[in-house]
Amino acid sequence: MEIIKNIRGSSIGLLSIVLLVFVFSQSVFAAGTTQNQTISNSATVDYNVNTIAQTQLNSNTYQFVVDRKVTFTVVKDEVAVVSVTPGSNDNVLTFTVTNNGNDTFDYTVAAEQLVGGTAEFGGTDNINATTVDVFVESGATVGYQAAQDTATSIDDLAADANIKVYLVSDFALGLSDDAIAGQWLLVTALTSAGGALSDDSGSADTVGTVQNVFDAMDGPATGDAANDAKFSDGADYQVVTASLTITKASTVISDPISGTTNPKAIPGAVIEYSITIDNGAGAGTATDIDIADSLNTEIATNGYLAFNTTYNVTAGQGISISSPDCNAGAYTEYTNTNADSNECGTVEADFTTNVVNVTGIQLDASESAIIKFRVTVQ
Amino acid sequence: MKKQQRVLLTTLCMLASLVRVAYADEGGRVELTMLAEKEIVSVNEQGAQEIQYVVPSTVIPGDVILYTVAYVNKGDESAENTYITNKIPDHMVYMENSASGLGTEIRYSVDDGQSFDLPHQLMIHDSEGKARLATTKDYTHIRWLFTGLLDPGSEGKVFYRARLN
Repeated sequence: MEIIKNIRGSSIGLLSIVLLVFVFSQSVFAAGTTQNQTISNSATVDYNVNTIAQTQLNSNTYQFVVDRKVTFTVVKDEVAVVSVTPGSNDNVLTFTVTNNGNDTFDYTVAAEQLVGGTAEFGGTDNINATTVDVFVESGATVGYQAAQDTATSIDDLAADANIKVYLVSDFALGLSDDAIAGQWLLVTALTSAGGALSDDSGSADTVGTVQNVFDAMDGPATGDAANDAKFSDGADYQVVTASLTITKASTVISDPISGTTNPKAIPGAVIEYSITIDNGAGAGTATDIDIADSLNTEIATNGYLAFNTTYNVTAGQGISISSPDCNAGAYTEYTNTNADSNECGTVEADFTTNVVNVTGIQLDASESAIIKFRVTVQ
Repeated sequence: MKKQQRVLLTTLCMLASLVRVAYADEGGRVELTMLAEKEIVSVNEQGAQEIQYVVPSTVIPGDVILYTVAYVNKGDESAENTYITNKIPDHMVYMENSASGLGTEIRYSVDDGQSFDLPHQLMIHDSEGKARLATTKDYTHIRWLFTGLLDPGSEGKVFYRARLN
């Protein structure tokens, strides 16, 4: 390595480098040098006159203090819509707030609901949550915990640190399948003491005083302008609910005169009722589907019909059900007198007080269940 | 007797020092002035990039500072073997190829000013003795070596840019 002493010549023995620049702790973060840090600089000159080394001289020392950079990000953790069920509570959208500034800040957090327009993950916003609360992660347990994450603002987020913030929403009953609710989290930076921040970037310099410079903060929320002390991001809920349809049909199985050949609904004829429940394509799973079909008017009031307690061949088993979660959808005959005697999976059936009752059917998207029973025309 | 000898020796040393300072003051005096300006990059109406240097109003991490060291020989004699040394301030990183100075050769230090060299000669050794070429983040000092004499009254400037971490 080339040493300066060699360049200067051997007669010089006064090589001295005076380090006038102040020595500071190296508190360097990704967010940058901490605000209020003094940056000092001075130079030295060495020279000879008539081959004699002269006293090293210093320049003036130029100093400035590092100002406060106010910048942070709000980024949703969600990578797709969050599914919600009508009537459900405490549905959560998660966001990460990261302090990229060079000081510690407090933040307010607020929710905004999109009203129409294109949602974050596509589609059009067309519903709102009935309530939206905003809570800040306590650090006790990862993920939203209603009992723990109760803070409604961010206190003293250090430079380079981040924290989770949750939008917690309740939704009403009766919402349509695929309906979309877009929401924004709007975060506003404050001083670490909770005071408002002003942007001093356009102001004259106050020597030796830390001033605020807002930098690169702009999000989609309506209350978030470019380079203010606010940042926002959005995410969406999408309603996923069952889309059930129910149809009832009847077929004459036999009559006393023609038997099973071209039977007619004459007295003594056996009629088969068929109730079909369909869940639409792309719909959510429907559980605990209960069906009740009252024959009381026809049987008790008018005496037109009598319940046929034998659906097919076994006496006392008058209801036949095809349900996807029972015997792989194969028809299973149920007793008409004891709800628990012949249950298959969660499905139960009985015939009580002239009412056909079926409970516990579960249908995923595009699945169907069929309930059949027979009556005799009086 | 020994005490008298020590006093005499000390007196002679002090006299020699005074003579030397007096000679220096009468011979040559190279003075320096340090200035810092903030780099402002903007795009004009024609879409071209414009760079301005202004006295810093606010400085935040990522800002680039242009340091200028102005020199002038206010003495009666020419200055020989002149060199200006600047420690790059803590928290700042030298920007590659930004140092300049008319009539100077520029060298850099990565060992807190103990030695200086050209960039391609600057090596960093890790704790296991493994060497790598230094990057500008490793630079601690810059030195401008004047290739000729600085005659009385001559003046000029040397420059470099650094980014605040």
